[in-house]
Amino acid sequence: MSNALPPFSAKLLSSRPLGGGMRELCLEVPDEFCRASRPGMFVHLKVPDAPQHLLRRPISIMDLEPEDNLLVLGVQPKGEGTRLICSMQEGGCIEMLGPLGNGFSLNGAKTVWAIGGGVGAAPMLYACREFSKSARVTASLGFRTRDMIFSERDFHESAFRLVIATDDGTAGFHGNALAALSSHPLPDLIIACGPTPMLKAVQEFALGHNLHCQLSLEQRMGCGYGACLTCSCRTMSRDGEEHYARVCADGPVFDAGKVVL
Amino acid sequence: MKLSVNLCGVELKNPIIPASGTFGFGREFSRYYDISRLGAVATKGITPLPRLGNPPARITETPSGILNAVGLQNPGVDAFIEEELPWLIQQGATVIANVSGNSMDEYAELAEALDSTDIALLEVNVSCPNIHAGGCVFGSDPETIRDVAKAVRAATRKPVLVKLSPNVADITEAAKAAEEGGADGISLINTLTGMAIDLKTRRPVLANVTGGLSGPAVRPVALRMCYQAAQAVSIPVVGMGGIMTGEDAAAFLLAGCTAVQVGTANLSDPMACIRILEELEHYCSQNGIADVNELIGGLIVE
Repeated sequence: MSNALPPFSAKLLSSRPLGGGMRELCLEVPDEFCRASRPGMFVHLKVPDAPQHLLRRPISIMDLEPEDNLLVLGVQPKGEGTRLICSMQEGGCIEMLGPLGNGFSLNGAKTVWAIGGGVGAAPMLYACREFSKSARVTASLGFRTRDMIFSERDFHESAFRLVIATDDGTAGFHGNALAALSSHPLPDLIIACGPTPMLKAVQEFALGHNLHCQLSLEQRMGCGYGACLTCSCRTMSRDGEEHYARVCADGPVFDAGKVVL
Repeated sequence: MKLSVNLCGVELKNPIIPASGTFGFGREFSRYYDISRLGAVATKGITPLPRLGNPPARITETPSGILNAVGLQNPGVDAFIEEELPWLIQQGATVIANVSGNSMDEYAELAEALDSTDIALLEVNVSCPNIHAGGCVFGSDPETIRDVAKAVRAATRKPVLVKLSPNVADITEAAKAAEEGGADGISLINTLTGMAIDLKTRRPVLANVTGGLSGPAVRPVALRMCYQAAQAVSIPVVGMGGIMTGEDAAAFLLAGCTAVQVGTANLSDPMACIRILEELEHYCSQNGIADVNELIGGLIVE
C-alpha cells in the first residue's frame, strides 16, 4: 500500500471573493501534493483555531498550478466551520489532509462534457484544464442566477467550449446545465458534480444514451480516508446486490452505472 | 522509560489503543504509520453475518463532539478471520476483536469462532446504541450484561473485555455485572445516545434519528464513570471518551484505567494515536515518571 501524505500546514497566499458568496483561496502546497493530485480529488481542511470543530471540512480541488505549488479552492461558507475557513487572513496557515479520494479518469475519451451545478462547478475547472490536454472538453455550468456564476474567465480559458445556464434565465441558457447541451453532439464521456437532482438527471441521460459517465458525490464526512464508514452512498454491484461505499475513499467519483442516487 | 502495561494477562507495548469503529481494521492508518507501534488495535465491531449498516447521513458534528450512527457496517466474522486478521497479525498488531451480537447465542458463536485465532483479546460490545434488539438497547440492564459475559466466557479461552454503555442508571452496577459474569476486564464508555435536528428541513440530521455522541464533549462524564467503575470492580478497566491528548490519557490512567482507547481523535487526525502516545511519553518524562504503571489508579482524593 502506498504511503499517504501526512497532514500538513498550508500557507494562504491569497483570498478573494468569487460569485455567489463563495471565496477563492490560493494555498501553497508541497511537491508531493501536486504529484498525487488529480481532478475530482479533494482536501480535508481543519477549521483554523477552532478545536471545538472536531471534523475536517472536505473541499474539492478547484485548480492546481504545480509549477508554482499553488492549490486553488472555491469554498462556499455554509456553516460556522466553512465561514471560519473563508475568513482566514492571507499569510495564515491551515492544516490540510490530502489530496484524498479517487478523481475523474479520462480513459482515452476524446470528447467530454464537464457538467457542474452551483458549488459543484468548482472541481470542473481543474478537470477542464487537465483533460483539455488530450480531449475536447465542453463545460456546462448551471447556477441559480447570474450573481452565482464564478470563475467564468478561467473556464473560458481552460475548456474547449463553455456553456452557462441559469435557473432564472438571467444569464446564458434558461434552464439546467444538462438541458443546455441538448443541441450538442454526444461525447465519449460525461463527468458531473453538483446537487443530487442534477446528478440524477445526468445519470439517467447517460445510462439512457449508453455513455460513459462519472459522478462526483457529496456526503456528510468523518475521517476522509476510509476508516470511519460514515460518508456512505449506495452502490449496485453487477449481480444487483446493494452495498454502501465510502464517498471519501471509494469515491468521491463513482461510475454512474454503479451508484444509486 | 517503561510504557508497557499488562492488560488481562496480555502485555501491551503501551496503553494506547485505537477504539473500535474509528480505526476500521487498521489498513487506512497503516498508510500513515506503523500500526505495530500501538498498544493494541480494537477492530471495527464484528457480527456473525455481514451488515450493511444504516443509510446516510451517518455523522454530524456537535459542539466539541461527534454524533454517529454507522449501524455496525462490517464484513462479518468469517471475512474478518480470513481477510482482515491475517493482515493485522502480519503488521505486528496486538488485536482486540470487538464483537456484537443480537442474542446470547450470537455472542457465544462469535467467541467460539474467534477462540482458535490469533486475536489477543475479545471486546464484547453489549452497548452499541445504533442497533436495536426488541426496541431497547441490548446491554442496558445488569442482568443481560452478566448473561452475555457468562455466555462469552464459556465459549472462549481468550481474555474477555466487556464494553459498557454509559446509557445506564448506575455504571457501577453494569461494571459489577460484567465482573460477576466472568469478564477479565471492562472497557468504557461507549457513546452517549444523542440527537441533532436540521432546522431548515425540520428533520433529524442522522437518518437513524438518534446517534452516539463522542469526543471531548463527553470526556468529563467518561472520566467520572471510569473512576467509579474502577472503584467498583477488581478487574482491569480500559478507559475511553474524548481522549485527544497525552494528558487526557494520563488523566484516565490516574482515574484507575490500565489502558485507554482513542476514538473520535482518529477522525480528526490520522496521526492522533501516535501523537497521543508521544505526548504521554513526554508527560511522563516531564514529571519524573519512569514507569507508566505508576499512573494507573494514582489519583489522590483528599
